[in-house]
Amino acid sequence: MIKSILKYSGFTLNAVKEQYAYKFRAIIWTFYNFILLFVQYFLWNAIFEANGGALYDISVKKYLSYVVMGMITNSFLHCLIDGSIAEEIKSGNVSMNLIKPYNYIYMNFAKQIGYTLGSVISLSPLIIVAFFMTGLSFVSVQALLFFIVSIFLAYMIVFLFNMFLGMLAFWITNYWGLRLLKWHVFVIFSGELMAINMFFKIGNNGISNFPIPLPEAAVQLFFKTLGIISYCLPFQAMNYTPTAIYTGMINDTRQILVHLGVQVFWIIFMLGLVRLVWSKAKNQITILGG
Amino acid sequence: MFKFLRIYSAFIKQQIKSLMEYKIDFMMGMIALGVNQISTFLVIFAVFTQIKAIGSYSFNEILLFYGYSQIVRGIDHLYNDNIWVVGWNKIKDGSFSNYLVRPIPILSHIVMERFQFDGFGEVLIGLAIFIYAKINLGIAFGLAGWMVLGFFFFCGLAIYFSIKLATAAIAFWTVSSGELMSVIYEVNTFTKFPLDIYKNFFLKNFLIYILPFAIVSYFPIAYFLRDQNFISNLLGFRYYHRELLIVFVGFVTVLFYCASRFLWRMGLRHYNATGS
Amino acid sequence: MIEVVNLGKSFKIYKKYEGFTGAIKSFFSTEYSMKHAVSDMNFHIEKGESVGYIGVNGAGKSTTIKMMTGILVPTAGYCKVDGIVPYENRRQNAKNIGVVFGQRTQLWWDLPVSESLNILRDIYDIPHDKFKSKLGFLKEILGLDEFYLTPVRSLSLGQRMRSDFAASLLHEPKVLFLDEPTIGLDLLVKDNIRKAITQVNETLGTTVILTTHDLADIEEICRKIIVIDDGRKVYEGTVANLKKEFNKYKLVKFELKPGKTPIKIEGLFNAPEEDVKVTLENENLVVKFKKDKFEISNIVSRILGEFEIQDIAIEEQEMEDIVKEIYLKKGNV
Repeated sequence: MIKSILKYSGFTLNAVKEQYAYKFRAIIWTFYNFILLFVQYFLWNAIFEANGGALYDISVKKYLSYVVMGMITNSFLHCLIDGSIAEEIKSGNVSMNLIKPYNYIYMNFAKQIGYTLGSVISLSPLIIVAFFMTGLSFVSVQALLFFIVSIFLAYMIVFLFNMFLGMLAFWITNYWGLRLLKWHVFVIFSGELMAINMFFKIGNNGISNFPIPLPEAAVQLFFKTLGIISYCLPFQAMNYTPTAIYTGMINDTRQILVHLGVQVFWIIFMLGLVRLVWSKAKNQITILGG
Repeated sequence: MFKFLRIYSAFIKQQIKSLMEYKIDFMMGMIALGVNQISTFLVIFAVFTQIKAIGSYSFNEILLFYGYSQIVRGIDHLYNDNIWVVGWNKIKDGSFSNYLVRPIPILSHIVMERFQFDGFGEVLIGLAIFIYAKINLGIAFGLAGWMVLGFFFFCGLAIYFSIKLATAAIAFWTVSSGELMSVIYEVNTFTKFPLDIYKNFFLKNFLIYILPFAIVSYFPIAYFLRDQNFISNLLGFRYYHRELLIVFVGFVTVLFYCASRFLWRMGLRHYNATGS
Repeated sequence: MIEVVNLGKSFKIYKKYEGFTGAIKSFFSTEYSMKHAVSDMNFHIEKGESVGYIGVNGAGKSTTIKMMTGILVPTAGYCKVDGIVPYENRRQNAKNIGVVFGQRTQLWWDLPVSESLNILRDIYDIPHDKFKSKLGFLKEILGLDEFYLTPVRSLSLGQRMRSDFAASLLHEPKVLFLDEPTIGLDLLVKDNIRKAITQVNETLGTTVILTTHDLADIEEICRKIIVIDDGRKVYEGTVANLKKEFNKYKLVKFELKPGKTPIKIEGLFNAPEEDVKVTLENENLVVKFKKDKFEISNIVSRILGEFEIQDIAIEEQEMEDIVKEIYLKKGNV
């Protein structure tokens, strides 16, 4: 165990160094995150204030914490492994990995840890600013502990999912459209756009002011469906679950455990999927010669 | 002029051809851009199931801002996307020199080289939302109104152009400025909604006077929806003729355009002096 | 056709510091040193000439080419191409010149060769019938047909080079600048490109300026040669003259019988080392001697008398050695 950790730690270390090589870039991306943060913050602030400071039973403070915490979670879970794998496949370098004495999946995981460690520093200004803006309302020690477990699980899911997408490049060669699709679908179904429970709240509570003349049942069904789809896709387990646990949007212990269970399910599922795709991909390499 | 159209159409034809090469990827990309358009719209949709208005803006007014901003953004996206490549790569890998040994103006060459079909998603959805909102609001622009809107539209495009040009020009000194371009460009997200709903003094003035994205869609639509008291408050100075806003928008646009062209020219001179 | 007068180009090199604080320090630092990439360059090139412009890496070849093509502005002197100052009249000059950079393509990565050329036709305003006949000519001498419809990104280096070359000639430039056009190419493609350049130079009267590291390029294409070192011209003249002037040595290689490696090779000839030099390379004994000091028969008989020899080969000194010699005694020419 220790031996294999040592074996792969080199990749981690290199990835950390790589991150440090582009300091200017890191600073600029921190600003980029700030802008995204401000856009979300000001927009939701305006929306909640328009309704007297609360929407459904969620207070503006709580929701802003959710939005901001979601951004922090997102940047922490940021994963570029899909692009780098797709690149390796397109350039043919991937076959080099078959002749080396290490596991391709472990190697990429070690690299990903390195990237995360390297980017933690550029994350800290974001956390500080977010703290001053919203207080990042701390709920309870229990919530914090569950959050830590949940974000760890989310990290695994994000990694495996990106691994899977990257390897699809074996069959689709160009990785432009799929990446774009990943980004934009993620926004809607991960809770980044709005908390997943909002979908259900709209679906259940009805619509009092809906400005387009559509039957109420249809609109309710539409939002409920969005919520259900969210739970059928892995994206909510990557962002919504940890963020909602931290901010207390999911606060019932039983519910928390169910969400964690869903995360574990996705890990197992993704692990199987990645193994399957990788074994097929290996055949592809040996047939096509990379 | 005719010659430029011919070159441009030749480039466009080729791009359609190469898009067709990666069919599945292209389809997924198009779906992705559609999904992206839906997402902001979804927020508006969800919010207005509960709320009658955000700030002083009704559902249809919000839509009018949103739709218009997406049209401008989309058109810019369509024709002016190659400048990104200049900021990210062209100077770094030296291929910028290719523009210098060709007998046509550099900026036109850059623009013509790439036509980004992604922009159609924004334009079409923006147009649909704009028309829907306009009909529901029951506002009529009249011929003069349309001409004013046309002028605003042109100014909006010029602002996008200037901001992208100026940030790309930084690459002449720093070799690559893609990150900076992205950060500055991303600020345009604020233009999707009317600026005053954010209720932030700093942000408001920043977007009017420093990085004038407010010129792009906020002032044009506010001009038609609000009276001049409202806009006076916003600008921070009083003015007595409604039409002065047009002059203001035009003035800021010209200023920004000239400044960015100047920066570009300086950058080019720097490039001519160092070759890298 | 080309007039280069006291041309000079200096760059400021800002002092850099190490580390992160160093990066900030370098950002604000105004300390710099001057690098003189090209200084006091003077030469004239007549219409229809073909000139090899050679020098080691960093000698200033590319910098000169960049000034003549309008990419760089000189810091001293001036140059004119067909009466136009390139960096002042960039677009006018661009119509008169064709440029090929061996290191990177000027074609569009995603477009087929055919379409790249069509777009260039529009950019350079070439009339259709003229374009057609020109293209026919280029297709023939460069063999473009086999990959004419392939996207540039899928071309091999040799194919790409040939396409780039065709692209630079479509508009019948008066001057053709070639910056290392044969770099990284295999022998067959090199040969094809060299022949094509010669043909263009001879049949169309295009003035050709070529930088290269491969002196065989020069021998086959150029009549005139300009050697530069450290930004200064160290030789200018015809290739024939160069050989006459510098080719003072001859080489004789003796292949020794196996196991008969001599122990002592010094003092075989009673002459200083600059007149005759004997070295041992693998199993070969190599004698390099001045043509005007020794007869070849003397050398051969002396060696044959001393060692057991299997085979003999006589070689002229290679162009490369000649140029090396010029570099070594630069400034004395």
